[in-house]
Amino acid sequence: MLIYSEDKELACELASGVREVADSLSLKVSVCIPDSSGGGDVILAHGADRVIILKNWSTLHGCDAIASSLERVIKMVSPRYILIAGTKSGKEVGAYLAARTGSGCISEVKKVVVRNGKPLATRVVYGGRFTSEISCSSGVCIMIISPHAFEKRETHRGGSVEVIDVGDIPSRVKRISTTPRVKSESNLQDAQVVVCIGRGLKKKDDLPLIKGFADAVNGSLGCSRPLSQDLGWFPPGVWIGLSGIKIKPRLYFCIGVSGQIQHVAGITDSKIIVAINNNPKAPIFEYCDYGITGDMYKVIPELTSRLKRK
Amino acid sequence: MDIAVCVKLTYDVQEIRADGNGAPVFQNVPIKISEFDKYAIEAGVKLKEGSGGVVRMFSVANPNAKEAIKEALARGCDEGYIIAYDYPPQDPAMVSKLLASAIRIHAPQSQIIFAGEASSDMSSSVTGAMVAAWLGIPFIGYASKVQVQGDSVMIERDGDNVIEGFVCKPPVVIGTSDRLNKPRTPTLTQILSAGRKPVKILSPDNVDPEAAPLSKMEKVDVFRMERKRVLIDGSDPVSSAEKLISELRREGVL
Repeated sequence: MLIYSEDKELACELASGVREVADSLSLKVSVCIPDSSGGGDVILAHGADRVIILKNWSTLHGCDAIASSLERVIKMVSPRYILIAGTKSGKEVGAYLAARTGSGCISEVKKVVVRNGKPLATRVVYGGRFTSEISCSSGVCIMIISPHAFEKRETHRGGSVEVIDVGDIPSRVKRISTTPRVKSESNLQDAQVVVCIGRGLKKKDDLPLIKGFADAVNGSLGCSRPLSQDLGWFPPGVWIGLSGIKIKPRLYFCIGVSGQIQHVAGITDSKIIVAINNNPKAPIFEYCDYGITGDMYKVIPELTSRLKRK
Repeated sequence: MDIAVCVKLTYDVQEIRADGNGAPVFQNVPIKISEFDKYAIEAGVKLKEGSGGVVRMFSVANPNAKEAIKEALARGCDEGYIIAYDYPPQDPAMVSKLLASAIRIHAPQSQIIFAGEASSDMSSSVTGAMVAAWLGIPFIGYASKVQVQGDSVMIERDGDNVIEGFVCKPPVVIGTSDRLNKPRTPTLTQILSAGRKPVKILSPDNVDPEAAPLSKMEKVDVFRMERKRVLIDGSDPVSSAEKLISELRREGVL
């Protein structure tokens, strides 16, 4: 098996997460990472048999060039399965590599299970309403694994770290600037408490009501897709859902959110889900642990003042 | 400039029900343009409005999904190329190979090929990059700005915690993010004229006899979410707030 991740942490997750599957199929686990991510020894400590560091990785400006560098690694390790950490960049690299090598490609993978000696990839399908176990018939199978789907665990096996230079691979696109994204846009995925507001909010001027509640529960504030994409009450990119931000908080409040399946698929990893909605028939009540069927404009102020008192 | 747009016509996932065994029922489920592909179409149409050219829509879809095909044309595509397939295909290797081969045969002069960032049904986000790889041209995904300057394309990419600027020479495949534009609702005139635009129905065997699915859904089961579903009547805000807070404290999450 070959793992590629641009992020050291995700590389550790994939290495330790797939260890059991690799053992049951008697496969070795090689991990390939950019030189900039560092931590070859840490990855070995998480179950890898071999770590290959791509020197001069930063000179590879596009996913086509990165895929070319991985083709070199494929020649070295002849993998049967390639697991890619499913960040945005990872998805592009995995996809490009799949077509380049004529391999099957399964994305958004949550789990790999072995059935009759054959690994199957588990993922949600049809907008999150169904789950499926997917097999791959090509000689090499590429699986793109959702970040944090696998658990990180230390299992030292004593492997080797080697370095290959990929600085000579030409790039047909040129990266001319890199600007870190404003932090506030992306802290939802790591927040312990998340408050999400949906179409139940009648006007933008009512936002302080929700902000006050989010402060009272010490939560990060997000929204459902329409409030960001259609109404523009929130900046683009802070909406919660399958193709937006996927969250995994300890406590999740969705207020005035009807619970379309796209939204629900983005919140399934929450520990406790609380829904507040005035429509008792809203689908969100099917997916919550606690639900208040009532007017958010009356319930939220009451909750906020009680939480602030304590 | 010749522009191609890859469009997926998917099931309306909200309408897929599960049967008694938890398997999906597709009967009478409407077919729609995948939500994110509307941004790809809009991107193509916008470029055309700026610098002229033709926007061709490519899709592996059932030719009977006439309304969805018509909508793509009403949104501004000039021609449609439908690679006939009975139901919305789910294997990206086959779909991308068919799209790439169809573009190579019917619109080899395409300079920019747009593809939506993800499909509404599978959200795999891989087809655009695979089309690029089959065509042997670069791919830049999650584009939040696209600008043609002389013989180059400038692309702003909304990446993993970074915004990146790229420049490249066409041909290129660009994956569009939903920050790129605001897809317009077609006007009545556009809807009426869409029916007169040319649509070519292609057979997959003629487009690329080698394109075959490389993955298979062995089993599909309704997603079951084990939740407590404790409902509290909120007609009295005071008591419902009190009840919720005490439940959450008991759970140890507040």
